[in-house]
Amino acid sequence: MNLKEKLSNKTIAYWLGCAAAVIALVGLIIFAVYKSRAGEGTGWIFALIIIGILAQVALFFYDGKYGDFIAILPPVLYVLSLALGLSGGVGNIADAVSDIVMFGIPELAPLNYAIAAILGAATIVAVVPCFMTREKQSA
Amino acid sequence: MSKLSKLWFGLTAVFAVLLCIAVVGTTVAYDYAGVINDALGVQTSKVIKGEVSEEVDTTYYKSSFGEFNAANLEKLKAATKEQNINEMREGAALLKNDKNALPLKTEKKISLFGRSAAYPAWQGSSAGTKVSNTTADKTDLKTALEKEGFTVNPDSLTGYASVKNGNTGGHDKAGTGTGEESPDFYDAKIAGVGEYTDAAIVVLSRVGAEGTDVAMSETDDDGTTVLSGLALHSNEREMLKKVRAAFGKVIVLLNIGNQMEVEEVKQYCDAMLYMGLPGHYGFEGVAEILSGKVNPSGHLADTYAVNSLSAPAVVNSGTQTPEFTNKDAINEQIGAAENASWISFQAENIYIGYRYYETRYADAVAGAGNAKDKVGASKSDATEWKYSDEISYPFGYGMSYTTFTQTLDSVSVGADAIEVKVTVKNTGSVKGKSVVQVYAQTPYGDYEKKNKVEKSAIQLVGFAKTKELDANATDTVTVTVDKYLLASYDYVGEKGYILSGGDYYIAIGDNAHDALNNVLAKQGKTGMTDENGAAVTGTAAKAHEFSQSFDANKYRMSTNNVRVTNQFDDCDLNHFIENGGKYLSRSDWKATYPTQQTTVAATAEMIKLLSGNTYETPKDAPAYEELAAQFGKDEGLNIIMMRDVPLSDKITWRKFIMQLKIEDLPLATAESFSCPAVGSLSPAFAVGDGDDSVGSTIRIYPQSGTTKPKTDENGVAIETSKDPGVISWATLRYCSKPTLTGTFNEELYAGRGKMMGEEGLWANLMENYNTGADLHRTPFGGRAFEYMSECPNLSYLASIPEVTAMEKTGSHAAPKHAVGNDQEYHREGVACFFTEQALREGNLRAFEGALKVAKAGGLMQSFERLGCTWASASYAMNTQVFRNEWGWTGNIVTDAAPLRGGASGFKGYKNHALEVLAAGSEQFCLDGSAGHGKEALAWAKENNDGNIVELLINAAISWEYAIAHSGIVNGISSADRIVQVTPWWQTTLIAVIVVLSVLTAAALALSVVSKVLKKKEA
Repeated sequence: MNLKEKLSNKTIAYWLGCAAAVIALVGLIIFAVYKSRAGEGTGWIFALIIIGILAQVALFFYDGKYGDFIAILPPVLYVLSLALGLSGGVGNIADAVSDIVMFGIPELAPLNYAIAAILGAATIVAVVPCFMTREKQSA
Repeated sequence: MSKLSKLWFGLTAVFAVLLCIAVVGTTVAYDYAGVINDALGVQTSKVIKGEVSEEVDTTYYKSSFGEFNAANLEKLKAATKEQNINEMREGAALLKNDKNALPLKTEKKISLFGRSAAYPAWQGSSAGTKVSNTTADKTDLKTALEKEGFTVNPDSLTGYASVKNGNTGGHDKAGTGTGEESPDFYDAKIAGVGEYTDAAIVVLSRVGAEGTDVAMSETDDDGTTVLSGLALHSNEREMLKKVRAAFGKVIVLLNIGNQMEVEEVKQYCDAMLYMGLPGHYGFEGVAEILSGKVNPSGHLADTYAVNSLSAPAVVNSGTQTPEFTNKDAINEQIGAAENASWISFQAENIYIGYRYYETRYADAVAGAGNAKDKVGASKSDATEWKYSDEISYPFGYGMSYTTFTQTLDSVSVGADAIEVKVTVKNTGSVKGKSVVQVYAQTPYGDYEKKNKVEKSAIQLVGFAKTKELDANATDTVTVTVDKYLLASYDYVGEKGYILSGGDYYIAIGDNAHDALNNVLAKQGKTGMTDENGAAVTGTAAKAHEFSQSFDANKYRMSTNNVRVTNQFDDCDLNHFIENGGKYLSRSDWKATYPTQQTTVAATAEMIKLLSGNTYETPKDAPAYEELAAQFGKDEGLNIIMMRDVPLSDKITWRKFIMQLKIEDLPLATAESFSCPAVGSLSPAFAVGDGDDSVGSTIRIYPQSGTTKPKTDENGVAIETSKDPGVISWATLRYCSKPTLTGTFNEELYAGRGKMMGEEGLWANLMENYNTGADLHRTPFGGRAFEYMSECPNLSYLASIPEVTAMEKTGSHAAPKHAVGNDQEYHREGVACFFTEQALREGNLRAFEGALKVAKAGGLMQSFERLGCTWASASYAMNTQVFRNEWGWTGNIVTDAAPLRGGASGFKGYKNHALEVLAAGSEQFCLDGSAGHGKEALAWAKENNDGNIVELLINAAISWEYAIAHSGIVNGISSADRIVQVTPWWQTTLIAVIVVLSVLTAAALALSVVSKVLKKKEA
């Protein structure tokens, strides 16, 4: 199956997964900005999001026997990134709410909110295709 | 089933997503368990009552307001309110009062101006109960004025933007201007004043915040001019001009936690009152002063400079703190998480606040030390440094509605103390109180110059406030000065405290400058001026001279009989780098006044220290297993039995502690707003945090009728803080600390300690982090509002009655931030370099009264580094000085150092638990799950290091001793047992994880099965 056929063979479910990957990529970029400003958060978040995106990319070329298992990876990895990101940002958020600097860097709280919202959206969008078929016909 | 394949995969994803959220969420929740327990009112320990042979009164700490019930809570509330108002009545300092503009006798119709009239700075942005315009039970300025018979223009408080901006509070507001409204706004306001023209009251504010200093440079309202955040801004200036033009009488209120630059403000007003931050009810005191019901008697606890940037400490601190020149290399070597980029070289040496301005003035009068050189002069076109160009109001300044004379009756110099007797007469027509300020000058001669012993030309050494004196009435007060305050720390020659040889002077004065002029008069000097530049002669009769021979032995041994010697050599930059920094010296002001920032490239030795990894297991350390085997033995000791065991009885205390299972030992290092139970040794409890408010809630439970919930026969609480009928009261916010300190009234200092202690006792707080004693190193300090003064001696003296009174209540005082948290920007890790004299006579002196003299039950440390070592990891400070020299025995808590997510690998500047424990620090603030302690114990086990276990035992002894001597043990008898309780929400979260794990696994299994079946069908 050539590239054109592959493209035309993908269903809305696959493209939803791609949309989730794009959203997650935006989250990744914002997280990179956050980290560059000394924001607290594990570097594993980079790896988790990238693996999630790569899994979605892999589904373009391969959606066979293990395709459904691979499709579960992105939402799980995105939500794990979301949770770990929030975990690292708790101090920033606590300080922003209480208007002091004690646990973190309150100026970074908006980035924590943004990362959480974006990865939350990516997770939801990535979960939906797990219930659906990603190709019009089996590969 | 195969047809449901997609459903199972979808559900697998959903459950897995929820499981991830639950697992990470639970981890975070456990890290913040204390906060959650507090919010939910969850019990985490219980007391199982035992059989007692006779009825025992277990209320070891009783309230002076009687039993803990609703009726007596009202008495407590009334007393705290009275304390709050009294602080303002006696702490507000009248700075200007032309033609007796105040009190307002005939002026009854008042208009208010300034955004802070509508949105005052009630408190600084830090810990403690928050007051705002929406707080129900508080007194605002308008209400307070109306209570005093004024009527306030109803339009006065309308139209202001409600969101605060600029230097008026909040972590992100520094450098963004004052947020004052535009001139057009005030044109409209003034046009609408109608009949309210008797007088105008203008309120000006500046407030720093935790983590945020007031900006040393920012853009003015005009969008171009750069000026200091404490300077008068153009919108304020325009407002003042318009108000001045429209009103016959203008009063300015300084609603400020810092020292604003007010020289220019003088021309726009008839009277000016420094009020500070009022807390809940302080405005009532302000209104009483304005009406004349109260005669002001407050005095400034700080110097008001014309230009705050003229302070020599400014160049290397606050928003101007420089970085190491090789910070990238430092970060590369030890990691950015060590927060080791910033350096604050304290070039000012001992010369903070008046110690700089007055000493330079004295030398200018004497023609010594190139004091008149223009370096450091505020005016850009100055040809020489001139005191009156630099100072608006000197330290200790404060006016009254009456006049007093003070006569120095006698000065009796003893071996250890100096007794100063002063008669005060009210020579005016209004009754009032007067403050007797006693200052000293000690010799600055050849020895001092040779050995770099710096001397302030004048320093406060004692004070007293008279009773209220009627017209023509007199009062004689005696001030006893501890001679120790006259000693200087000689870090070069004797490496200890010395009493310099030569002539000493004891003087009284209306303020520091006045007292200095009296000393100069006694010395026969001429050419003196007051702060306005007017020639004065001083009053020689108000100064006493005596001689003292050089004495390096008197204070060689500490009160704890330990040799006092240099401990902080490695905090002097020149210890690492030859000529690394130049300290200000009165021997040559011109050559040493800091005009350029000081920064260096950290050496390899410095970087090693900055890394924080310095712990080495002592050669004689016991084996871990050997010690561990001794834990878990029931010795039949409970915390009540330990109340009568002195700390010196280490054997019994160790037995008590080692009843724990060793894995529970780290719990004694866990500190948070809710501290966990330490095994079966002590119950869970809360602590308070706030210099001007313990920041907690007092509750009266309907079933028990007291401050503790009713329990069943198993010790389980059967009512919670969320139950209907619970009476809750958020503890009071008092005046900001410079206002309290400015009362110069030991009774009010003690009153603050007693009230906050009572509140702590009623709120079941083991201790409270208050009595802020860090110095106002510059006027820009973000937390100046909760620290006492620029003067370490005043902080030393003022903290003694406050802490002493609080320690009597059953809720400990724990002064903070020991020591040196005198800037907020980059406070986390900034490497501070100074001379040992500057530290010992400055920051350490400021805490010495609270710890050594008043024996505070605990302390909270500081975020900055002393030299290259985090304060919490400083063995020199915590063990050598606090423990050994001072003999102080309270518990030592770090500043906020939560360890989230378990092990740190000892990376990150607050994560060096081994070094922190080895330094003598004990509890980790906001680490309610004992993350640091657990990590240290695990390391000790892995490395067979019993020394760490010994340090944890010491930490546990300090902690349990403080608990045993607090109201936390009220209600517990020697027959009772303490049992830990797992909070219901933790059980619930674990159950949720288990359920989701099962569901995820089941869905995954069904996915696989369906896939297999589908393949078979195919």
